[in-house]
Amino acid sequence: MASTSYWDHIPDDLALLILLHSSPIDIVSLRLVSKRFWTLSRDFILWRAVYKQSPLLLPKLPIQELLVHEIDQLLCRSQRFHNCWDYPICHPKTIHRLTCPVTIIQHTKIALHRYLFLAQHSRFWIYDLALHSESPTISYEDESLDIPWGINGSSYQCSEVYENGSWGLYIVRTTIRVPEDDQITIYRCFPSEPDQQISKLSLIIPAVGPMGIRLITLRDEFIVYIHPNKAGRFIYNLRTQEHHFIETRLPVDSSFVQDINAVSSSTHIVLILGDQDHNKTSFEAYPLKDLSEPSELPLQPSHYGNTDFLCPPGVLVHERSTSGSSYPNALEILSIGSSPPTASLLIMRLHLLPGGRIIESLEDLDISDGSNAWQFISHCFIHSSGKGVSRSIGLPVISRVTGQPYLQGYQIRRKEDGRLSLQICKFLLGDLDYDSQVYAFDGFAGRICLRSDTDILVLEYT
Amino acid sequence: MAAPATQQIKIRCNDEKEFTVDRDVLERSVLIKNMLEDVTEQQDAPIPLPNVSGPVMAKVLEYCTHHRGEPLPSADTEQSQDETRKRTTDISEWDQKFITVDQEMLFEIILAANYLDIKSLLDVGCKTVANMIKGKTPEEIRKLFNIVNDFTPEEEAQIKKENEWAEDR
Repeated sequence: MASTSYWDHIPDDLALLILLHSSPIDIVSLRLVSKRFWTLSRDFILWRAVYKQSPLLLPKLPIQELLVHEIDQLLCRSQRFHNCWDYPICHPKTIHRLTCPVTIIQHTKIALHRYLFLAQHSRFWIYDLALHSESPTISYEDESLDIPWGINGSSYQCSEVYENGSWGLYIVRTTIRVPEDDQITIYRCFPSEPDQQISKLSLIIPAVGPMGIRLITLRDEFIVYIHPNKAGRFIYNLRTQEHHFIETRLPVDSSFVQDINAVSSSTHIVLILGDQDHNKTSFEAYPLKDLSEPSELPLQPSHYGNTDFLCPPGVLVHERSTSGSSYPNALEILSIGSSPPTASLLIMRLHLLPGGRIIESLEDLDISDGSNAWQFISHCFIHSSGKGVSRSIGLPVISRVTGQPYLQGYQIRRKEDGRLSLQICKFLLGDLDYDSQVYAFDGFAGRICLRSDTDILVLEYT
Repeated sequence: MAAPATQQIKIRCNDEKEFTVDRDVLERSVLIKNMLEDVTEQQDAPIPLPNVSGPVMAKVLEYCTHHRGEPLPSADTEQSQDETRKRTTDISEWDQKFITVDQEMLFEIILAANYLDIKSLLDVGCKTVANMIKGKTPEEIRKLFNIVNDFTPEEEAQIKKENEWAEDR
C-alpha cells in the first residue's frame, strides 16, 4: 500500500474532472508532481475549461514603479571580449526609474539603441533607455485587444525589422480567444521615429488553446506557426503576407508542439524536434526560395531526417555562418543539457545539400566548471526569485560583431549580508574554452535580469 | 411518478453484499434509474453492481438517502455544467461531514459515483480532492497522495522553467 497511490486507480478522464475543480495555480503545481500529472495538466480540454473559469489569471506583478539598472561594465562588448574580466567590481551605470504597470518585459536592441519593451493588457510601451526619460518613446493602446489574459493567453514577441534604411520593431502578439479562433496581431513600429504610425496586421488562426501552439519568429521575416491540428501548420511570410502551409513530417502532436524549435540559415528554415521517447532528434528544412512566392500546394520539406541522439529539452538553435567551410549553408545547432554538476554542450551541424542529401556531424562537449553552481538551461533571461537566489542561465549567442559564437551563463546570488553577487561565465565556442568571474554588486534587490547578446539589464520593482 | 414510492429494489455488490433500498433513493443513480426503466416487469433478482463494493455502496446509499427527493441535475446543456463547475470548491455542511473519510474511501466513492452516474456525489468527491490539493507545493502533493516523482532532474528543471511566471510573484 505504501508504494502505490490511490490516484493510480483513477482513470484519466476522471482525474481530469478532479483537476477541473482545481484552480489554475494549483494545476501549475500539479504539473511538477509527476509525469502523469504533467500530461494531464497539459490536456487541452482541461485548459480550455480553466480558461473559461479564470480568464484573468496572469502573472501580475504588484508593482507600479520599475528601476532599470544598466550595468555597462558588464556589457562585454565583443571588441573587448577578452579583457572584460578586468572589472571585478561593477556599479550600475545608469538607473532609470519608470512608472508603469508591467506584466511583460523585453529588452530589445535596435541598431545602437537599447529599448525596453513593456506590455500589459491591451497596451504596450517602448522606452528608449538612452533618453533617460520617464516617458516612453512609444506608447500604444489597442482596445480591440483588451481580452482578459489567461495562462499564456497572450504573449508578445519582439523582433527587429529593417526597412528602407531604418530600424524598427515587429511586435507579435498572440491572443488566445477561447472559444473563438485565436488571433495573431503584428504591429510594426519604428521607435526612432515616434511620429510614424504604428501599422497593424491581424491574422486569425484556428483556436488551439494555450498549450498547443508554437510560434517562432525568424529572421524578422517569417513566423512559423504550428499546432497539433493539421490545419495549423504554416510559415507566414511577414513581407509578402502570404501563408505557406507546410506538410511537416515531424511527429507533431500536442505534447511535442512546445518542444519544436526553428532556425534559419541564409537558404533554409529548419524545424527541429527532440523526441525524448525515442531518444532522437528530427528535423526538416524548407528552402527560403519556396517561401518567397505564393503557392496553392502545401510545401514539402526539401530535407528531412532523424538523428540518433537527442538534443536536450529546451534546445536552443542558432545558425552559424560557416563560410569557408567546404559545405556552404551549413547550420550549426547548439544546445545545452545539464544535470548538475555537469553540463554539456551539443553542437550539431547540418549540411543541407542539393537533392535532399544531408551530412550531419555532432560534437558533445563537457562544459562543467567543476562546481555545481551552474545549471545551464536555455532561456533568455535570468529570473531571480523573490526569495533571494536566482537561477543561472546559459545561452548560446553569436556575436554580431565578430560572428563568433559564445555562451554566457549568469548567476545572481544573494549573499548573507544581503548584497547580490553576479557571476558571469563565458564559453568561447571557437576555442572551446571558458572563463568565469564573480562580480559584486552594491546591494540592490534585482528581480529580473534581461540580456541581449551584449547587454545585461537588471530590473528592480519598488 | 407512477411508480409507488415504497417500491423496494435489491442490489448486489461485487463482494456479494446485498442491499434492499427504496426505489427513489436508488434513482439518484442515473445508471440504476436507466436500468430500472428498461425493465418493465417486477423483478426479484438483485441488480448486480460489479464495480462497487459493499462498504462503498453503504456510503453511497447514505448520501442518496440524505439527498432523496431533491431534483436531479438536468443533463441538458454543456453550459449549465460549466456553470455548476464554476470555481466552487465549497461543499455543504452535511456533504462535508459525509465526505470526511480516509483517502481510499474517498477515491472509491469517486469511482463509484462515476460508475453509478451520481453527478452531485461525483462533484462533492472531486471538490474534496481539489481542496486537498489547494495551495500545496508539488512535494506536498506527492507526499499527501504517495505519488512517486518520476521526472529526471532535467525534465523537472524544464517544467520549473515553464512554471516560473507562476512561482515568482
